[in-house]
Amino acid sequence: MKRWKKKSPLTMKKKESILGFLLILPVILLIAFVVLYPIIYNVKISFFDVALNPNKPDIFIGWENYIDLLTDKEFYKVLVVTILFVAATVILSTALGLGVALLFNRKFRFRGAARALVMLSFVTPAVSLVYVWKYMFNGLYGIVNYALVDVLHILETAPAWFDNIVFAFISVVIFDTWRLYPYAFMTILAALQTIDTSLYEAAKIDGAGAWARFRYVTLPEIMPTIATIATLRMIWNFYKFDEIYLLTQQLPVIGVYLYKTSFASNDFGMAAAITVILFVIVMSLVFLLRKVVFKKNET
Amino acid sequence: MKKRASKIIAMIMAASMLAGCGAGASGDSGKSEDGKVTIEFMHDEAEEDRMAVYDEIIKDFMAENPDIEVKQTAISEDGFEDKVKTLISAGEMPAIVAGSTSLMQLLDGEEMINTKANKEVVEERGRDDFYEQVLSLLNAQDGEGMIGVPISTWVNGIWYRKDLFAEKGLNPPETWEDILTAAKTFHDPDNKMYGIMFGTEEGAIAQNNFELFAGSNGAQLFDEEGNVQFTSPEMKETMEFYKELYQYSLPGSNGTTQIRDAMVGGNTAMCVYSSYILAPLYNAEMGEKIGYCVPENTQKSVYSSPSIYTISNTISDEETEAAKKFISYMLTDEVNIKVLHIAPGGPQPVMKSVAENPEYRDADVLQVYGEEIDKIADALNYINVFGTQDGITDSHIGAISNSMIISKAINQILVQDQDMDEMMQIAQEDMEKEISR
Amino acid sequence: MRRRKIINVLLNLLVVAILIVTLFPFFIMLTTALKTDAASVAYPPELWPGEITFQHFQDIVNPMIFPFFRYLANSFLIAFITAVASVIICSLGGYSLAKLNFFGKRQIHNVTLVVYMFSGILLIVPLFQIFNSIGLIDNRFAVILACLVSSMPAALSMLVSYFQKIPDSIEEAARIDGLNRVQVIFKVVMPLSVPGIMSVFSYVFMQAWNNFLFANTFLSSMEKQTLIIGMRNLFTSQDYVWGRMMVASLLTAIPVIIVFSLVERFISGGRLDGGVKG
Repeated sequence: MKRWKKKSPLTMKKKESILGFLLILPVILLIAFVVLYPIIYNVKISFFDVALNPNKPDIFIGWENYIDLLTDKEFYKVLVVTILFVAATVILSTALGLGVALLFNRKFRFRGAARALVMLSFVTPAVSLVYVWKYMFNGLYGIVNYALVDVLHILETAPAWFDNIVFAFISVVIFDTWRLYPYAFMTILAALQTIDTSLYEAAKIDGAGAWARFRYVTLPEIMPTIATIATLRMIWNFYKFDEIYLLTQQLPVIGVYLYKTSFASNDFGMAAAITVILFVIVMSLVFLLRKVVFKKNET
Repeated sequence: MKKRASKIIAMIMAASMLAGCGAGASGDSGKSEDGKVTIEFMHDEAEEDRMAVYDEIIKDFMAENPDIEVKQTAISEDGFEDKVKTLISAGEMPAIVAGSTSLMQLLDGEEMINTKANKEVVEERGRDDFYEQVLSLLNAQDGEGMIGVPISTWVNGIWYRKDLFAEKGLNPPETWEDILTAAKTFHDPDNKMYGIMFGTEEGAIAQNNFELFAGSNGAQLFDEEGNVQFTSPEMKETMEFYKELYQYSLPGSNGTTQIRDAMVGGNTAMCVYSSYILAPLYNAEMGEKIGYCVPENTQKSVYSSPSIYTISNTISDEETEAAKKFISYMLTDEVNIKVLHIAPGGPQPVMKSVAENPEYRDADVLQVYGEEIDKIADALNYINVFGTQDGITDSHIGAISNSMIISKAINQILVQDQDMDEMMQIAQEDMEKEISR
Repeated sequence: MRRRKIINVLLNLLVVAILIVTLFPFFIMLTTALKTDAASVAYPPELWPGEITFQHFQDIVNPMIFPFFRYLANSFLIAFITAVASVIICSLGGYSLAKLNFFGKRQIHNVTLVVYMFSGILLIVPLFQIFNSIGLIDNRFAVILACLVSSMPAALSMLVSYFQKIPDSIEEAARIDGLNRVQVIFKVVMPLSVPGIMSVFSYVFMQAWNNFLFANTFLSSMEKQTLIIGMRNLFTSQDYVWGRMMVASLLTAIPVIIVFSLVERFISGGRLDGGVKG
């Protein structure tokens, strides 16, 4: 009888352990197959001067790619611009998403339709949105310049929306925030709706006003969600390339820099070196974000 | 539980179906069991109507050559070169790839093309029939073969509103002086009218347009020893001229969209663009109002970019023969005219016999422009592009063009208002670095 | 009470304002789709087309110009299968990471995040080589696989945080009722998580639907190309037509919107506290 009791909890735990492992196995296998090899491949070629033709030998150059990279002023400039870009878009889109989610968390007519409409900018393919923007901001027939300069006379001449680095930065940040905030909105709204209403009731009974309820009930409840969104967004935006490249040539971000190095200059070895270094940087930033800003002690 | 299980089963079934029908589709080139040779032909004209014409041509070719099968693959222009590079890194190259000179130079540099076979196709047709200037763009780095076979080419130049010029009694914009005068006369931004539109963005069109004017000033990119001389006096004069011209243009980084829209919308008196502008202007019913001009300061000069078909060197001998046959077929008068008529006015004939062939002129778009078409065809005699001197093309020009160094300099100087000498010096150094790679 | 009403009205106005600002570009898309070519580049620009034309809509469904339905079928196939596969794999994995303990769990969770950091451009060349060597090139399955893995970290994260919110008490209750772990997962937890799962479904569907990089790289024959590739062709061609581009954009976005709305309706019922209070 004693022996039997002792065995039972151990076996249970182990069973669960095995189950847990089995359930995550497909994920691990897929990642190993699809991502692991490319990662190893990239690390390897970062030490070579790679020829496109696989029959031509790759020249081993050791740390040369890394040295060239770390001594290139352009790289640091690109890094700074990217970090600024990521910070701006993550903060703005999360804040806006939060605001709109709170706004939509009440009942009003056509709420369902309104929620679907808000998602439009997130759901539509990037290329369509970019071209619509370019169309709207065109110097000749664009409606934005027409409205601002010719009709409302707010500005004297059409600004160079995508042409100098400052304006390009602002334009791209606005574009990206507009495009991404629905994701934050959708996720936060879902989280808001799972908050137990009894918590609010208890707070009200304790005399908490709207702001206090938000600060002490809502915010803590959705903090994990916000942390996840912010982290994912940050990583995603760090490498963002497509939309930015299509909109303007004047915003040097990592994604564009990487593309130019690998496909435009055909220097895949250097591109791989950039990736490895970036990986280290992004890892550190994620670590920083989660430990310091969100004060999480576990994943 | 049942729902989940059936979902899983459905997915596995679907996946295996796809894998099954997919596995059979791999293997683009090769010999199939019935002794037929299959070759893949890859190009960047991914518009349905264009592909339909190629389909027709391929069908006719296959009827005449029953032992050859041709498959066409079209990838859209902006992702084309990336796709080719990805293919190459996996050691896969289609039997025939159609592209620009810079792509071909890249392929030649990576030793992926059969320069000998290309040359044989051209010679079989007869070198004399081709415009020599076009052929001079195609020498391979081994000094012997050719990087491809030209099928057609476009030229750029100045397109201007004949009607508006006539009203003001202006000369056609040929000399630098006349161009400036005209630009100044028509420039009226408050009424949304601009003097001239040309490429100023960090893209290919900026460099192509610039070469037009640089050439007309006798500016060469390389000196006799093959060194870059972007800071030569002729280049600087051209850049000064460019800066002045920019004053009469729509401010900003202008590319094909901005230029074409302005011209079609009637908001500019002149534009610098490729011959591909003929069709949109025809569609906007502006054909009769348009004139064409080749600028001339010390000489006449145009920029040209041929559409080149090249044969891979990774295929078998039978496939090479089949590829040669197909390309030769594309060069026959009748078929070549068909290809040119896909977008009449855009691609120009590279063979004199085709240019003079009355069937070629027999397209509505071309009829509308009347004698301007003759001027365009004639422009092929003045082809003058960076990197080509004395009939030989430097093998580094492709890499330089792809790196956008010159376009960036133009953008910095004109749009970003940076110091001209400084930017040109930076471009000079960047190009030197690019060459030494 | 009065104050409440005023606040309500103001908030509703705010909602309308946000909608107007967010949707303005789509309004432009619609009006340009209805404008003639000349009107689309004319100055001054009209807010609403003076002359309405449906030519562009006709053109887009004209197989000679744009094989819309073929593209649609391919896009749907890829997006749907990717989403279904993702939901299955990531629900199981997500539950595991959220609720079970096993050796190396922490590391594995971190690894999935790390995977996210290797953006598409870097995977392209080596992935092409792998797929090429097993004959998966020009096979939609390759695209499905790539899209599946690249959206996995996001899908996993979403599901993990969703599962973590399901109180252990519910599961305990089920266990006391005699169900073993596996049964608890499928009979209790999953049904409760339908909203979360459906959200992930629509998210992955959308990512796969809009994907350009993998579709462009791994597919070559015309029969297999997706809507987004077709659109890129339309946009970057020499013969671009604004009206057509706008129509294509609208039509490409609609299926995803439909999926989102359907999921939305599905979710709106699901509330978690129902489970606890019961």
